[in-house]
Amino acid sequence: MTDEILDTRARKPEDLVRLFSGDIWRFTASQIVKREDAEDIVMEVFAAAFTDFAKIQRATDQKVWLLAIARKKVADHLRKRYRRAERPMTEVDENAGLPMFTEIQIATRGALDQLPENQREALILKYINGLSTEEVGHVIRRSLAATNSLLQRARESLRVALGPQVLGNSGDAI
Amino acid sequence: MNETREQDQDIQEALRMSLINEEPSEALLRELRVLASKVAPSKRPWWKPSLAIGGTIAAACGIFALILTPTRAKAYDSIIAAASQQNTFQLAVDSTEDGIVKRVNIMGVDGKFTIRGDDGGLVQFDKGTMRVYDAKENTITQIKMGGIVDPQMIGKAVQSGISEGLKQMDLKKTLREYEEKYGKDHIKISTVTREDGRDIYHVTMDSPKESERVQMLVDANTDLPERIDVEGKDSDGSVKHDSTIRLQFGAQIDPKLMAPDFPKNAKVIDIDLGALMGGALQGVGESLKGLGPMIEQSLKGVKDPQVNLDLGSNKGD
Repeated sequence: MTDEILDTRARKPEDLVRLFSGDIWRFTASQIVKREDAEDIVMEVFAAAFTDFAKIQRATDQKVWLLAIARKKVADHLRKRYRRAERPMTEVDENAGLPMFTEIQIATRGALDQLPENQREALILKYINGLSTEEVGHVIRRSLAATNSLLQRARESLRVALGPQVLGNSGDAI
Repeated sequence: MNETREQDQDIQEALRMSLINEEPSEALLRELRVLASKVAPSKRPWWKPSLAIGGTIAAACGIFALILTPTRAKAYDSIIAAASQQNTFQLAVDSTEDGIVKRVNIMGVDGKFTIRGDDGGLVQFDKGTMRVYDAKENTITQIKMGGIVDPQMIGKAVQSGISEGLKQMDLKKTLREYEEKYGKDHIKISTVTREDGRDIYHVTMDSPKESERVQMLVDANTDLPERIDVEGKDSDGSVKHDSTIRLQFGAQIDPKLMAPDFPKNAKVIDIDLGALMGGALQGVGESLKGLGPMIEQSLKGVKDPQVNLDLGSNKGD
């Protein structure tokens, strides 16, 4: 039992990569469309964690700790992009050197982009990273009740944005 | 309820489908591993004297510096005066890592001091020679300081001449750093209260910018600290016990505890730092603050210092 617990905690910097790179990647790539940018952010998240490794060793939940850093880095990146008045990330095309998306991916990303930032983050943490509602609250620094309420609103917003045809055919691709 | 779950599943499925790749690329993982491998081994904070021998000595000095931390307060002068008069001391440091408590005992008498870890590790410093016993490896690393470190200075710093030693450590700078670290508003000294039939007061150093909170219990009659608790603060605001230092001054120390009891069958490794470093670092001992990193640096290339110099750390992690 103790070994199992220890196995989910990083005791060396390499452990952080092994245990949590997937989570950080999924959280980041869900919001950043360009792979290079997403990879840069993931690198920045881990660089920050390595710099303060003693602190993350003490953290109750290291994944939550890393996701909180990732949340900030992603938000900073998105704000910079929007400040530069770039096109919305949903308006992707082949010429931009971006990945080819399926119809459902374009629809879902478009819907996510329409959501307020905190709703989008909460949905991704809950449904892509698989955090409990309480853990989502820790990352976004909200109480359990407030997080529940936020998730409820986020689900409703996403349903409206996606429409029943997308939700019912999420496996379809171009 | 079931309907909600089904709808949630639809959302979950749609969101997961939005990802091009669920896993990071091999190239990214490779870069992350390279980055991780470049991270220097984490140094324990100065209040946690159990990692490397150099760090241990520096930390022992640091503990005394910590004793003097509540500057400007009424207690500061009385604490430094009280500590300066002591020629024996005993510290027991309990640190918690991953729920496991490790103990290190530090004892000093007349310029010699001994550090014992609960894993059998033993460090003895006496007249310019430091001997480190690694119970796991059954080795004694015997380090002669040569001219690099003035043993008397160490003795002074951790013993009766502490105020003189601390001058050499640039006490003002150290205290300024603490003040800067915690901020004037975050070093608080309580009023004297009576607990368990004696008068005590508390010193608390707690800054929202720092990841640790330090609390000190001081005997109001002697102005000598008895206990220092260090707690780590998590990102969610919770506090976790990190280490406890129990201090005792002026007590009779069992000579057996001070006497070296290195096993006779242990392998002895001699390292002459003076010879190793040539004359290049003569006089560096003026700065005790740099002792720990300096020794570790000096030993690089000779052998992995973590192997022989660890005391009470998690070897093999």
